Amino acid sequence: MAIKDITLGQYFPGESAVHRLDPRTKILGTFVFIISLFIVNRFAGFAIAAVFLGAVIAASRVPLKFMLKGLRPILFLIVFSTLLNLFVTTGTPIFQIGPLSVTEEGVYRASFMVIRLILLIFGSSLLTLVTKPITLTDGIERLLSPMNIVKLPSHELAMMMTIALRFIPTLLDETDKIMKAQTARGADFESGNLFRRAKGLIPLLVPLFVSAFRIAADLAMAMEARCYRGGKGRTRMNGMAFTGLDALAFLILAVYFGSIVYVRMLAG
Amino acid sequence: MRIEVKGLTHIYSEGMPFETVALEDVSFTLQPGSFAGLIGHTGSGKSTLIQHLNGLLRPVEGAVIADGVDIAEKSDAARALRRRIGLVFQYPEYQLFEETVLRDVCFGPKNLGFSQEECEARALHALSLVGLDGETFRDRSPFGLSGGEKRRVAIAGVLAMEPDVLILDEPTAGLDPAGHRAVLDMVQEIKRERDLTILLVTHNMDDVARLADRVLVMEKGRLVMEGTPGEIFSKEQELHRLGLSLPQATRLMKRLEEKGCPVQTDVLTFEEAEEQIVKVFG
Repeated sequence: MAIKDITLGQYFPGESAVHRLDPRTKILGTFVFIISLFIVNRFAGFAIAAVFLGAVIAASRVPLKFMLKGLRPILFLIVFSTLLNLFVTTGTPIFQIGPLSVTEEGVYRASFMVIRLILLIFGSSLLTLVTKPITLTDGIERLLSPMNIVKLPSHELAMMMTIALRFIPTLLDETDKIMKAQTARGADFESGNLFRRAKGLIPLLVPLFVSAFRIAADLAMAMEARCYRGGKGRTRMNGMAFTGLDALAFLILAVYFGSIVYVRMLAG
Repeated sequence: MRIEVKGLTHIYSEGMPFETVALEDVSFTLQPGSFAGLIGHTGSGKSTLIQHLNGLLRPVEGAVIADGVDIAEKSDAARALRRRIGLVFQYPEYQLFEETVLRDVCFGPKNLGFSQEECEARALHALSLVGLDGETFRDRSPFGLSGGEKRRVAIAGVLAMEPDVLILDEPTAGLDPAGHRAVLDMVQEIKRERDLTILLVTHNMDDVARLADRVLVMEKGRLVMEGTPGEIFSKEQELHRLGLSLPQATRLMKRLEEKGCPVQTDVLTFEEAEEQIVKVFG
């Protein structure tokens, strides 16, 4: 089913070096990578970013086919922003279609945006592909824990994220089930104009919300039954520790980020 | 309607590391007017199989042929056939969404393109088939009903489409004994009235023994046994190996035989068991 093929937030099991990194390293690395994409202001910078990301993906042994599948749901966003950039940017016209003109600047900016978007999506989806959701939120909790001084409830935030992530597949399964049940009753989710389609979603969304509330209530009950009372005094079963592998990762990351900044400086 | 399943194979997430073969070379035939029971361990592929029977899933290999037409085809004939095969999912009450019971039951017939009056007439009839009084229930919210009532409304939603074949996936799961009996009595009643072909997926051997005239047994995506309830439930060892058991009445007779009572063990229901016991002791 198409609905199950969304890779965002899905873990791809593996034992590669990238999988074994400390979650904090991976989260910080992803942040640095995302920031670097916005520092880049010319294609040469993207080339470096692409090579870096390509190397990390290769090291993680996540098949490219799997990553490409994750791109499909946001294809619309990519196409939309490309068209917008292509037609709306003013500058030297190349050719015209009716009132719309395609400009050199537009082509430049559109391709720039597409590359940035794709790298952004690949980079961020890789994080969840190589990190178990629970490990990921543990990492976030640890990274945020210094903020406890300013009364930021880092544990509660992390728990909320864990639960949200945990329920993505559950809700997708639920959606799939309800969709099939309504299809069996003759519902049509695929044809008709936008208005009809939006209306056609009601038989899907109402039961989905009902399910979500039911699941949430059950979960709250189960947590209370096991005496959950927030993060205070809670210890971990598996502690986290930086290893030599993480040191190496930070080194590579520093070199990468340095070269991105260098390329930007060159451009002046 | 005669449904032939030929060499059906289905693989989930093909080419992914989570790839699982859910069905492997499954073949059988559902005769018109028959009542078949489908049993098997959890995860044996029962749910995957029935989703093929009305075209919700497309087979990787093989085909489901209804009245000579492959129902996975994109033709109008295939679509019309798919609509005559009604599928009631597990926990069907989770598919309720409308503001009133009547409107929810009307959803199916409306999608088939019937007029408002026709839809309502069908919906009220379907509600009476599942044993709910249309006048009392029509304007109530489906979300305010009891579990058993919700389930019956959901089943009515499928019946209102007036299918020729009705497939029920564990229709009694999670119901109390009264609800359990009510749903199955209702299934029998509908079968008598409309002469439907029924396929019942269940974990309850007593229900299969009592209701079905044909039993299909699945294990790990394969159809491992097929026959009449008498044939299937005479193979205790094999069923045991598959994680399945005998109907209680059959088990009782077997134990009696072990204790030295000269009873026949080929009984399936308590009525037959009673007869045997009366014959021997009475």
